[in-house]
Amino acid sequence: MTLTPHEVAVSQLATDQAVPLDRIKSLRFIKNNIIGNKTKKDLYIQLGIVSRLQDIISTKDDKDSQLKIQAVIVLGSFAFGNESNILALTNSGVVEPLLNCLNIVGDPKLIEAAARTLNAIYSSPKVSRQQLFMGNHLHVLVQLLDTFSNKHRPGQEIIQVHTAELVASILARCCETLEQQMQIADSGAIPLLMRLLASGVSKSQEAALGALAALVKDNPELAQVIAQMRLEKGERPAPFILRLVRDKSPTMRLAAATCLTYLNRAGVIPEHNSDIMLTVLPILVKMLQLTGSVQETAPQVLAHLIWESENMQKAVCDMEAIPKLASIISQMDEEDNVYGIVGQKDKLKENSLLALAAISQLKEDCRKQVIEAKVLSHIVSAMSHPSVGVRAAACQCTRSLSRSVKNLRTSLVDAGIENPLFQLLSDEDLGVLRSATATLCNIVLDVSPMKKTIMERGIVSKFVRMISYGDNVVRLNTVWAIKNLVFEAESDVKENVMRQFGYNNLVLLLNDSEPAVQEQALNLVRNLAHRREHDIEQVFKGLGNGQLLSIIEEKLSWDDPKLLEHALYVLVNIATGSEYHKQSILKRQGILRSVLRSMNHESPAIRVASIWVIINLTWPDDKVPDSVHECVTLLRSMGIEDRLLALNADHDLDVRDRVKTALQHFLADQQQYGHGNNSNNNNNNGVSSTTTRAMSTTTGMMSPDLTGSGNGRHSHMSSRHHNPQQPPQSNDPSASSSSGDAHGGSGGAGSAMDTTHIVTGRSGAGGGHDRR
Amino acid sequence: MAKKAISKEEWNARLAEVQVDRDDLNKLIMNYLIIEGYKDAAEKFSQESGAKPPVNLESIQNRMVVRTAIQRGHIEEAIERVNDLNPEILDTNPKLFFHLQQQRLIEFIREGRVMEALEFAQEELAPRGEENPEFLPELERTMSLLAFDLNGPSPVSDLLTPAQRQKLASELNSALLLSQSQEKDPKLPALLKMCQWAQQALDERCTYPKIKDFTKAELVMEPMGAAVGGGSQGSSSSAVAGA
Repeated sequence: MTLTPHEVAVSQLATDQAVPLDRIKSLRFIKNNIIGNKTKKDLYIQLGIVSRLQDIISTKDDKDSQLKIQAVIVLGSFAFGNESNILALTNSGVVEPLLNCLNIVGDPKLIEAAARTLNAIYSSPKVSRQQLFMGNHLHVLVQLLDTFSNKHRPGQEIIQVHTAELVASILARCCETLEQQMQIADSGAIPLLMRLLASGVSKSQEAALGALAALVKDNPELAQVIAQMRLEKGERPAPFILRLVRDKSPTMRLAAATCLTYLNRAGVIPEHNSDIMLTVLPILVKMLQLTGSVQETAPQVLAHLIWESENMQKAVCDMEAIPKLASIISQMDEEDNVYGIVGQKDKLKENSLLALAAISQLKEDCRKQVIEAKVLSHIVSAMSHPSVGVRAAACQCTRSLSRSVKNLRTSLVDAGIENPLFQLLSDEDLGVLRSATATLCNIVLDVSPMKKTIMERGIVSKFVRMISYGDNVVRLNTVWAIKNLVFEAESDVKENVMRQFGYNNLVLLLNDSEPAVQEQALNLVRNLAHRREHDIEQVFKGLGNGQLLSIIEEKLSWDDPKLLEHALYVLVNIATGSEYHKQSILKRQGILRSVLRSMNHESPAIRVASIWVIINLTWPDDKVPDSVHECVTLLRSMGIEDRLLALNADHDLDVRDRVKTALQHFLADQQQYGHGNNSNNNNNNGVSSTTTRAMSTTTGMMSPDLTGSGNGRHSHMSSRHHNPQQPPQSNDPSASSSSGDAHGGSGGAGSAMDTTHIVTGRSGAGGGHDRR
Repeated sequence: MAKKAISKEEWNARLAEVQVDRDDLNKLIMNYLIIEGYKDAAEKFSQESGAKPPVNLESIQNRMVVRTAIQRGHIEEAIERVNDLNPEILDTNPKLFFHLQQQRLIEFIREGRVMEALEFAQEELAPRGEENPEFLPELERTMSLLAFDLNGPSPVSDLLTPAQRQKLASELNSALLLSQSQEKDPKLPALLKMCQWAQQALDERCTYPKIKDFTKAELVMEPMGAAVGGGSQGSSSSAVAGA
């Protein structure tokens, strides 16, 4: 059988087969065959060329670098193919010998070629970055950034500048973790990158911007360092980069906008806020109408820039970004149908969806525009897209949209979001799962017609699986969803949920390693033990004798103000229960001492919560007057009445109001039994004789903090005051009147009081600020 | 509204106040020579004027060799040269690579090597079309060359003209320049365009001694009220003979 020319070329690469010149000739033949030609790249990899190349570049023989150079170039061309090509290279171990080619005194052409090949290899996020940070490699790379000192050989300027550009790009790609960022910064790269930035050579400037952006991304410390540096003419980097945002070249504009985005997110260039609004935002929006890689990346940068900023989201909305993004997405779906090719523009779709999610994150107006742009059906179908990134981004969109009560009631139901969302809850990808569980939090709200159907599908059994998933965000979202599910729910719904979910799982969550999860688990308890004695009794029973209060006692001893507050509100709710429930609290000296201590807490919200415990415990009850009296006596003996009196002068109005109510209970007791202390003070309390209500609180509504960035956790509660002793309980207007926007709403227990029926005072829903 | 009239004397006095830096002039000329590929001229000009070329003059030579190869129809040679200069260019620029392969196909057809043309189209071009569907119409057009008499008129005869090679040569030249952080267009034509535009804008407001022929740069005073005759539109003069 005759060999093909390709097989001949590969066989000639063997060390013992041919004279060096023939080997170089073969390599050039191969190179010119594979460059630009994906099919031939695959063919040669199948012919086993990689290990031959690996041998060539690993030799210590430096006499003639031509052979090595050609081999390195061929490797580079493979890396420009697809990811599986790159992995074929790295699995054969080419990275280390390539890094060894970066020898500062070596042949500049070899260095350039190796830097190019490494840069192409590191374009895949699946390649380990570890080797680069071992030994002397990082040091050498940083030296190669230096095109300014005179030690270089004349006539090689172009190669050296190009090498520096490649090295900057490598650094940008190997700068994903905080540790990597710090190591690169410590290696002295930043001043050299600054010089490249100011070099006036466009490719160098773009490369420097890329590396600087990677260094400051989510790294306020380095962002601060870089923002405070001076360029050669004494200028700060930010105004200089702002000029590059207006450059002729779209890739330069994008690189500059990206860098400014990260600096802005790090909060280190507040003096340029209006420049960002007036210059960077419109330029990014215009990029949506370009083509290629700029159009593909621009929406992602845009999403990042406007995340959590209502102003910028509104501004982008006014620039008609939504119809532009919508047409990108819908056009793409049509093209897919025409060519039957899926996967080419996944990234563009993913990023466009991310941008839509960001724009509609906070403003109802913007959500409305998304619905009106008729893109929702495309978003919903993208939830079942083969690409993980697209699925996650689509889910992020539905999450933003589901923060609107109106959308929950109509558009999202009509678009059939429920089916794909349910599927996504079993997705293998963590990012997808995080977005999906966050969306779910809103879908299971009372206002959503999907709540009922999604429960019937067996959502609760999914919860059980999801909390055992080893991810903090997924677990947090899950607890949040359950909490919303039982918010203001009927007893049978609560019982049904807990029967499937299991109180043992609730105990696990209450003792979770993540404080945010504990916090929401306490909120869940709060919602379960809410409103009805029966419901409180269910939680008592479910958690086992005395365990509920043991857990609460433990949480009260913690230093975390949020846990403390939620634990106190669990007590507030329990204290609206039966005589038995109240007595269980009163038997716990530890709990009472914590409540007393909390009355002096620096946070007014916690002082209010602790006083509510007292109010509800001392609630006058004609059926058991003696036990109320005993309770008052006990609390008085602990010094609680004195503490209340001291709080009469509290600077917080809400605290003072609660104090009045509580003291009223002590006064009533004194008037009836006549042996209180502090009698002289009681007249000053100004307590009216109107009846106030005990309060029971629930928490619920809207989506939690989604992501793992650790920022922006928001406490979040809605409170309700009602008097369980005084039936009939009327409607509860606050449940559905809650704002559709997940954000907003201030904290603090409401204080509205009503003399006849139930009182509702809603404190608003918090939460929802999330970051990708 | 009556147009304001500016006399030649006044105009000259104003022009005399404008300073033009000799260095700037030299840079503009150097820029033109380099981008348009006049290597020897750039070298001489550098020696005589002292203007430093911003790039290695070798790189001009390299670009010109590539350009000449394309203009002569030696596409394979041009590809090898480009890959030697920077192997990244054709790996990251599928459109340019497709155009080069398309030109190879055209050259096969021009030489009447039909079997080779078909084989080449099947092996090299069809896969590129699969990867990038937007190339398919152009591929179809090229293939239809086979259906026509090469010497007769046909809807695709433009593919066989020197302009087709010229277009490809320019595209490749631009890619090479961009890869070296150089602008793909020289600055002088842009300045002349700007000057012409400024004169047109000024024509609407006043009469003044204007330059009608840039090669002469003579100030010509138009009679009052005469129709404004714009110069020839945008002579970008970018077509350059090969080295």
